Amino acid sequence: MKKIILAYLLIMISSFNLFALEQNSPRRKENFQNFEKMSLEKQISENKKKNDEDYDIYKYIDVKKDKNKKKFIHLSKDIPLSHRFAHLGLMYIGQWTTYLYTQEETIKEEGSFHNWHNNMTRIHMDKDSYDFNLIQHSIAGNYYYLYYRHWGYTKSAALLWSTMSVVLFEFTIETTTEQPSVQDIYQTPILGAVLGMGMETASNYLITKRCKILKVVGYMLNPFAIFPHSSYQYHSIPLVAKNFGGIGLAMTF
Amino acid sequence: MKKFTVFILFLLFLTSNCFSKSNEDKNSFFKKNKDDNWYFLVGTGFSGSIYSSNITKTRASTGLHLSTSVGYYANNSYAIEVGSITSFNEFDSISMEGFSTQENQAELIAWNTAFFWGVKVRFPGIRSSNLFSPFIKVFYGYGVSVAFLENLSDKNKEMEKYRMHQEGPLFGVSISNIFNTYKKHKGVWFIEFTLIRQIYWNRYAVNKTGTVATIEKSEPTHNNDYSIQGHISVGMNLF
Repeated sequence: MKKIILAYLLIMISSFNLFALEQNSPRRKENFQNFEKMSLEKQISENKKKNDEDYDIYKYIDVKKDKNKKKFIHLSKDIPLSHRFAHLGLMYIGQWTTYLYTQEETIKEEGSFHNWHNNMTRIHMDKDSYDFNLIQHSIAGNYYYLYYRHWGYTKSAALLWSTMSVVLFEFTIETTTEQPSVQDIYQTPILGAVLGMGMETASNYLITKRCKILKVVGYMLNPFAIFPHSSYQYHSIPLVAKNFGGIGLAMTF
Repeated sequence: MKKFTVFILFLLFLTSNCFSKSNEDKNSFFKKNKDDNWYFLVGTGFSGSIYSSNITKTRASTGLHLSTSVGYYANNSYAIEVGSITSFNEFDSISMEGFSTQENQAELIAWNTAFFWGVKVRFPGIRSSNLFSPFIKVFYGYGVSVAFLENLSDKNKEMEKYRMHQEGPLFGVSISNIFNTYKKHKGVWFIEFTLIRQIYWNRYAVNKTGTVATIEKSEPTHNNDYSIQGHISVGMNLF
């Protein structure tokens, strides 16, 4: 089981690199360089114009009028539908990995292919307590939301695709051990998005601070900010040998 | 037939804005979006409820809630919306029997969750402005009320390991006013009054001591149990 999880992690992290390469394709680079040449005011006004469009990425900039003040802005671009489904697929792999890792005992005791198949049509109101339904699911939903935001989705698109991820999880993963739950399907993406918007704002504020501790807290609130498009570039290389599997990590400042 | 006619007339009245050609007010439902689009509202506020059951007298409770609504609006007049209201209400004391044959005096905290879908329309016959843009919403859904019993007497202490889940359909109406709908650089916020009537169909005693929720006992309520909930919310438009 651990080998499967490790394999999934390797695939997932490698895929992140592939997407990072795609984000740095010549066409995107050219668009980005053109954007860079604009004045700050024009960048902001361009960004405001495109704010409701499909794609926005984070850029860390110095505000020229006040060199000590730094802020995040959103740059809008389009995300092709194929990439959106690829992001959904990556999340799906992550969901299976997390589920297999965290629910190993429950799957051994109660999991079966029969359950997986039969539970798909048996949606119900679960009998869990608020610590599961309101707190833990909201935290999970927060990560779904931040994951899609990190790829550059608008707020509404991030909510929509988070909901799709949650639906996939409830109907094709968690059915191995339990029936899909109405509360989870609604509350995970919706309350998660509310929490995620707060986390994102707080993280963006803290990351721009000079104090290293505040920066670290900022990245802890939104771990996805450390992935490509952010000021901190994170790279990973899967290392596989005959009797060895591992991941090489590097970070540029 | 008479009821049906009244219902149709009521619907026509509500949706009159959609068919009105003389709709001079071409401003959007919310400020930024001039076209049909999604919106996401989040609010919080005070709740009150009256609960009537065949295992207890009618009692009132008060508390706080969180409301969420995601909707799609069209034609600058109506929206299809899904939403939820999650509230925590406290009863002072309650006497109950049913799962236990003995009467219990207890403190009770009720966690109510209402899920619904509905239609939201501009309040008919009113010309809206930046600070007065009223809407009416009718909705239907399903909800769960979970009762946590606390501070039971020693002889009934064992019941504290259970929480009582009750669920059933609900319907309701809400009236809201949305502020700053036409000012581009000000945040959109709202005040909403919601009234919900929920009927409880089934009741479950759930053992809360284990990691997995286990239903120890369940029974139908014979439609005798219901609650009427009122909510006053203040909130904002997140997108």
